[in-house]
Amino acid sequence: MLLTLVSAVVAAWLVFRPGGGDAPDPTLPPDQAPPPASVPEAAGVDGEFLFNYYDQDGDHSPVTGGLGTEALQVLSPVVVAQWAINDRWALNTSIGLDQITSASTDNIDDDISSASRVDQRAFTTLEVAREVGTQTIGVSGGFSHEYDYSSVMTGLRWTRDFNRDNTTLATSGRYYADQVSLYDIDGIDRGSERRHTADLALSVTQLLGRRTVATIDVAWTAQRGFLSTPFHEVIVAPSPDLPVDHRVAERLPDTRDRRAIGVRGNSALTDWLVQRGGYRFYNDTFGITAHSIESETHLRLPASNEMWVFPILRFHRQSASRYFGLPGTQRVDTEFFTADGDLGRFDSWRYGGGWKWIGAGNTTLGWLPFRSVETRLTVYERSDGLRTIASSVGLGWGF
Amino acid sequence: MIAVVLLVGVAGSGCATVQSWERGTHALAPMQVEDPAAKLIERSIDVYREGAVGANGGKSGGGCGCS
Repeated sequence: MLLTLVSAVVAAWLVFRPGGGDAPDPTLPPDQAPPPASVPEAAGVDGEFLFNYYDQDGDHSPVTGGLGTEALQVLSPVVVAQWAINDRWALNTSIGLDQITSASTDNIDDDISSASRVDQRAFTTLEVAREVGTQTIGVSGGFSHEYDYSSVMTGLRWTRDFNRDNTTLATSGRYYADQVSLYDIDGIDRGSERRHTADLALSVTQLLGRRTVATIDVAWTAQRGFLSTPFHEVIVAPSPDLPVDHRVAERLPDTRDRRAIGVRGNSALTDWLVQRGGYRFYNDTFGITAHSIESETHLRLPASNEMWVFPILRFHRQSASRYFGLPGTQRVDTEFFTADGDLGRFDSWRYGGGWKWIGAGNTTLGWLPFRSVETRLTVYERSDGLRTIASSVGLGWGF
Repeated sequence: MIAVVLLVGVAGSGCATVQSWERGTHALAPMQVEDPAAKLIERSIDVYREGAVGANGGKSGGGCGCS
């Protein structure tokens, strides 16, 4: 807690300090403003190979009423690519295949015979972006599929630079049409239901001097349709009319609205020390209120190219949903209830570190000219006992 | 309302214009506003394991992450 508070104070000071550090930077050539996110200035193809690994364990799986193992591993290779067709048009795409090994979801079908169940989730997105003067417009679509869940996404975004590119306004909207297969708590397939999600986001990014940039994000999400997970169990409170440890399926409302606002900033304290930080507030109509704060302090190592190491720190606190209850505490005649710990009250910490290298553009890996490498390794610990490890290696390349 | 006030406040603070030739430091890798792709998996964890969607918290639809 103390470290988080110190990080928050440092991050806030770096973002909002008067002048934002206006000393000139003689070490870099002029006019090196970061390029637009989606339409590079020069034609070519850039991309990144990502290799992600995720491992979690805990003892409160909602698949078994909040009592069983949450052991889960995910191996997730992803390719993201950006093709700048010319100085106005660009295509952005991503494709990935998650390999998921889960001990608890093995219990949702009739064939409980193995220690774990292996599933795959495939996903892809494509965006067409066009730059018109200081504006960029993007139209996107996407698709993901796993054995019990399919999702189709359409999106639209618009950004505009103002004030000699010192201010950027970005808005985006996305709509997800999802289909949930209804494997119930006895493993019986009972058809499918729809889930609709609309995301709206607005952000303003402002240069606050030669060494500081800050962003405010506002987001609103509306979900309608079947929002329960059909194979999540709830162990209801003891009753003379029910057998011991009677289990029923989770029941959640069919509407949920989520709101979030965040502020984040990056500040170069010196040419070799950059502080990144942010805070976000969240609440929703399930009754959850959450606060998150994170910090990364990037230290540049002496090398011919850009090379950075950084510690990662994040703290999150959320209140419980009004529908959440511990196993054996919910009345069976209650309209809505869940034992999903993700909707419970908890604090969580993420800590770890990363390393990033930016090449000079003349390094090749076989036939592939690669430009950057970033690795991240983090541990996530939740106060209810859930513990996860996430690692990621990203290889950036470009032609 | 608070969000609108903050947005207007930040937008209005751009009176001290930073010229393009003064932005060398903003080109450094850790100064980029967007999160690096290598951070996506952490965002996904936050979305699935917390009420963390929105405002730089990642997408909200697709995939149940339900185990």
